[in-house]
Amino acid sequence: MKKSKQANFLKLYEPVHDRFERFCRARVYGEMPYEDLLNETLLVAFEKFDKLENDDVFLSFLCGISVRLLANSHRKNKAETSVHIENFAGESSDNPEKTAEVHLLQQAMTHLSEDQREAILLFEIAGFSIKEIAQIQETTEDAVKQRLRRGRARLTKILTFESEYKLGEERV
Amino acid sequence: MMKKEHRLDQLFESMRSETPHMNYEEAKMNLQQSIAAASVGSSGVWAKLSTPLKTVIMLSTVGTIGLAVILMTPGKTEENKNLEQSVPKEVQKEEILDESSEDNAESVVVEIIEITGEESETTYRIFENGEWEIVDTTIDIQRFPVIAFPEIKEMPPRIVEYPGQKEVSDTNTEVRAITFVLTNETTDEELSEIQRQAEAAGIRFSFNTSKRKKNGLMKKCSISLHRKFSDDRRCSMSSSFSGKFNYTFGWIVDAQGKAIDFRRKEDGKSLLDK
Repeated sequence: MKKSKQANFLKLYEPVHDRFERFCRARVYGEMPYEDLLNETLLVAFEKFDKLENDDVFLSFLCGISVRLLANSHRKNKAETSVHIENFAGESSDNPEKTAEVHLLQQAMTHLSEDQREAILLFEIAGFSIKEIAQIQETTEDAVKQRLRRGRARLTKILTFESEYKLGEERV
Repeated sequence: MMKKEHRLDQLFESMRSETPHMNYEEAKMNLQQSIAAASVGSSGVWAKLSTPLKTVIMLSTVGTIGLAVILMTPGKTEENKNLEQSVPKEVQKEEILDESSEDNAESVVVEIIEITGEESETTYRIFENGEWEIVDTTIDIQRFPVIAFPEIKEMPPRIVEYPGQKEVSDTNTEVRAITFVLTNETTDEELSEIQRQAEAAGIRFSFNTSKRKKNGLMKKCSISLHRKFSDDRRCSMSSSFSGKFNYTFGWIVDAQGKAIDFRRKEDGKSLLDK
């Protein structure tokens, strides 16, 4: 029974793995190792798998869980201010230029509010509609639209400078 | 402004098309390992019996206290004798069960090893006297007749590291073993130190000790090691533990300090022995 549950779970997970991995990696960039969020989400999702009514919304189910896990974690660790920055210089990559661009964007996104960053990643990386994001973030569609608009505007402004020095200034 | 928007879209496109850092197989393996660790405490005969047993133990404790109160009440000696004789057998039996609290229950270690795509999972039950037995394994015993497990009693109680130790080897190739002993007393700081050393050796080491008792001892722990070599060969090792455990593991590094293999200690052997 358990083996078959696991097989079903993995069958649904395999096609969405790449998108979910990118979402987790970008979502906690600079905060914590993304593997922790991904693994924890998968374990919780597996435990709650029986409650999933529609297989088509599996990715949304996963993202919803990771969003709630992070929200709970932030509530608990409000006082904690340590910042974990991934060392990407040593990462092997087939396309170092693309890797650098992705890190630049991820770094810029750390300057957005949690909600804005989440909404943008769900929209741009995970490919959800505004309606789906509103459900995941437990808010209205108008609020999601506003987060996307303001987030993109801020990113555009930050990326205009595109240098560590200017990013440092922004943060201040 | 349009140009800037376009630039942003380009960056998002790069992010969308980037190769994932963790592939599906790794995520799958981590999940299987976490499920195994999570189910260790909630499966097995003990766990199935624990709820009814706890109820019985609670009732028997209440009964015993009640009995003690009656026995200690002066002036009822004859009555007490009768009561003593009529202590139900089940109460005596449950007192014995009470002695074996959950902490003293046998510990279980689940180990998943994958080398270049071939995966195996083995569950061991370790008894108080240090003996162990294999509860379940996916290893084809005909192919791998020897499944060794580290000696439980003689292990040091806390994490021990031998970073400078050279055990070898071959006169031409200088290799050494980095060894760690993991117990339920190992702290997160010590695990982070292992993680740091693993990183230096090119290994991705992750651990999960979300369940700790109030005194800091781990209830459950899972670790995993991953290394991808330049020739695309992959090596992974995952283990999960619960109860009292003592596990020696490590890696073999080459002259440059990079890991070339993972090992767990087998009885009476050095980490370098095949």
